[in-house]
Order: sequence, then C-alpha cells, then structure tokens
Amino acid sequence: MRHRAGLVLALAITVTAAACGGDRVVVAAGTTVVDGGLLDAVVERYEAATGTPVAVTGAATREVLALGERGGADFLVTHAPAQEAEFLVRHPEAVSSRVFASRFLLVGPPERAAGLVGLDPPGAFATIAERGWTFVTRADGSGTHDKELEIWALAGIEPAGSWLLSTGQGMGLSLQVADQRSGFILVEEGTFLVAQPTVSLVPVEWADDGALTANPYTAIAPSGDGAAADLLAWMTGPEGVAAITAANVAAYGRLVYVP
Amino acid sequence: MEFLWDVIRDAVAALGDFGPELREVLWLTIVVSGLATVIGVVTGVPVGLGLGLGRFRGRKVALTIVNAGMGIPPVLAGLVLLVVLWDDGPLGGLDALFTPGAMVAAQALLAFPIAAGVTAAAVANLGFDAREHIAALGLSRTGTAAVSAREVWPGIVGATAAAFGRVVSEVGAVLIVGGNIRGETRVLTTAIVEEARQARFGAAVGLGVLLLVLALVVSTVLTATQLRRADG
Repeated sequence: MRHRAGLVLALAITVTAAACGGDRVVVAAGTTVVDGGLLDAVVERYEAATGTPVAVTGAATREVLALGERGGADFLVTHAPAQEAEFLVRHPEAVSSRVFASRFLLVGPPERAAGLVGLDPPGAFATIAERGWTFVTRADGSGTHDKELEIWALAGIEPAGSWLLSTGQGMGLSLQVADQRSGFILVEEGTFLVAQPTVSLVPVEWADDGALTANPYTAIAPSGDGAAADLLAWMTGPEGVAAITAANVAAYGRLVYVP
Repeated sequence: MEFLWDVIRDAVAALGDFGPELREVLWLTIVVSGLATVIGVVTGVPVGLGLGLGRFRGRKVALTIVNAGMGIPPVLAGLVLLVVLWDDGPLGGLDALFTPGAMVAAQALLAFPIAAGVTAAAVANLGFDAREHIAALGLSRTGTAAVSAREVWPGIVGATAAAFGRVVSEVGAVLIVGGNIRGETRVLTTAIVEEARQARFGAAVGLGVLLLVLALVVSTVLTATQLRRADG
C-alpha cells in the first residue's frame, strides 16, 4: 500500500510538472488585444509553426508589466508608452519592439454622440464633463486609462463627479457598463468592433488627426533571451506580420491592428 | 521572500488607513449579501420545510433540483441575470443592470437553494420520536411546519450561515451584473479582483483580511444563536 501511495504521489508530481510546462511561453497582454481575440489568433499560428506552447492572459498594462517584473509572464504586450519606457529603463536586459497599432474611439449613445460631431478629442471630453453626461472610466492603470487621462489633461479638466463611473475592470466589461448605463467610453477600436452587435453605442465622429488617438502596442521580452525573444523575433518578422494581418482579416475583414 | 514581506506591509498599511471609500465598499458588501441572504432564507426555508416534511409526487425531483442548485456556479447565476436584465432582455425595462439591486437578485438566487436544501436535510433528519410527537399534536400542515421549524432551529441558523458565507465570498455573479462601479456597485470581492489585476497585491490582501473578518463576525453571531437555542 505504501508503495502504491508513493507511486501515485510521484505520478501526480510528474503530471503537475508537465502541466506547468518547461518550455511554455506565458504571454500577458492588455485586455484590449485579448478580449477581442486577436492575440490568441496570432499565437495559435506561432504554436502551429514552432510547436512551442503559448498561454495568453489578459490584464491591465500596469499588471502586465508587474507580471513581467516578477517573472509571472515571459512575454508582454502593452500599450502605455510612458509605463513601457519606465519599465525598459529599469530592465536594460529586456528587448522590445512595436508590433502593431490600432486607434482609440470615443463611443456613446447615438443622440448624445451626434452632439459631439466635429469636436477634437479634448473638446469632446470637455463637453461631456460640462453637460454631466455619463462617462465610464477604466480607472485601472491600463493603456486605455492612460490615454483617457492624457485627453482630460489636454482638456484642462480633472474628471470627478457623479457622472463619472469608474469600473476598475477590463475593456469588455467596462464597455458593457457604458452601454447599459448609456454613457460614453474611450474604447480601443478592435474591442468595440467585436462588441458592436450587442451594444447600442456609436462612435463619435470627432475631429481626429490620428496623432492623439493612435494606440501603438509594444511587445516586450523582459529576459531578453530564450523562448520569449524567439517569439518577439517571429512576431516582428515576415511570418509574424503575415499572421497578424491574417488574424485581422479573419476577425474584422480589414486591418484594425496594423502591423 | 522580500516580495511577500512587501505585500504584508502594504496590506497592513491599506487596512490602517481605513478611508471612506473602503467603508463604503464594506457597507455595500454587508447590505447586498445580507439582503440576499434574508431573501434566500425567507423563501428557501419554507420550501425546505415542505420538501423535508411533505409526501407528494415530484418531491424527489424537487429535492434533487434544490440539491443541485446548492452547487450552481455563481458566474452562471450572474450570466442568467445579465441576459434577463440586459436592455433588450425580458426585464430590460427595469434598468436594473449594474445596480446593487441586480447584485442582490443574483446572490439571492445562490442563497435560495442553500437555505432550502440545508433546511430540508435538517427536518428530514428529525428522529422518529420527534415526528410522532409532532404528529400527535394534530396540527394543520402549516402548524406542523412551524413546530418542526422550532425543532430544527439550529439547522435553519446553519442554513443561514451557509447561505451568507456562500454569497459574501462569491465574485462571479456580482462582477457580471454589478460591474464593480466605484461608489455604486463595488463590493469586497470585486475590489479584491480589481486590486490583484492591477498588481496592488498588498491592498488586495488587506481587503481579503477584511472579508475574512466579516465572515467570522457573522458566523460568530449566528453560531451563538444556534448554541443558545440548542442548549436552552
């Protein structure tokens, strides 16, 4: 009996160790590229091409970077330039590269969105604040939240008040809250396109020269070598670009996350 | 190890500066889970008494459903309510989604089968003597149920404690139908998820400790009630 118990234990340990995977690359990425399914589609191709298992988890950029710092993730995809720069200064061994870019949209209830046509982003935000229209903020240290704060700062407004709903959650859930509470939300385009059939919010046709609303994503391999560096090289190489393009076309019929 | 100490230090600091926002979160947690437990118990205990005492067709099926309901995943309860309360859903007109009311409803759905199931088990376990004794009183069905409920009072208190413990600790349902909106629908469990997601582990652990203390206080009060009745 004793022997059998030992055998079972040994087996359990082996299975657990195998499940934890020696060569598995753990990818932590902003919820904007995970909630919409883009990153899963891209890494699936990498897995098929190389046989290296990849696991993708979504989180706000602040947590993604913290995971990279603590060794909880091997490969990071983030979209908050200021936080990324700080991370790279602290970790000179890390390698990084821009991988693709989408853009931010302001979406809201149709009647009210019509009232913001032609305004620039800070102007639109200022109008929302003045009128006390509901605005849903991620408030979670994500790249999207950083962008919200940047636009509020340009508008010269410190957002506060009962019209501001703060979810502290990912892009998908926050968008649902905005929809059901008839509020505005700054949303990353790909996530919005996936959710669009189920929500009644529409994009504000604001005066957008593309500079302020650009949403560049950076991939970081904190260790600077090994499987994570291989993935980074693949993603920025011709095969990766082809995979990103194909994933875009399959999901949206056009390029939303432009490599 | 240093990481762990950092987390513990931050947790103590987070609890130390117990601000108005944390008070609000704690208060909403007590109100939402408390109300849900009350609703679950008030509706579930009579159903449990009926299932435990009654002899009717379909009793076995009903008991099976209630027992299965005790294990319903909170995210599923939340999902069902999300679909029902969605703007275009059957009860969309209530505008209840992402409000505390929806959170109470979701948790009451979870509390009900626990209250009913534990009560049914308690009365079903009444000894033959006790049953004979109650039957000899020659009461109406409602009267019999009331006397039986008195007999199994510790079991009903236990059902209440189990229901509260279940709902106060769940996160799936309240996150889906509540949305974790600051100052409106944020409770301890959803706040923990948020803090952990943002790598503020100390604050998350602090909230976790608070949740444990809350569960412990409620359990202490209920256990005292249980013992008093059982001893007296």
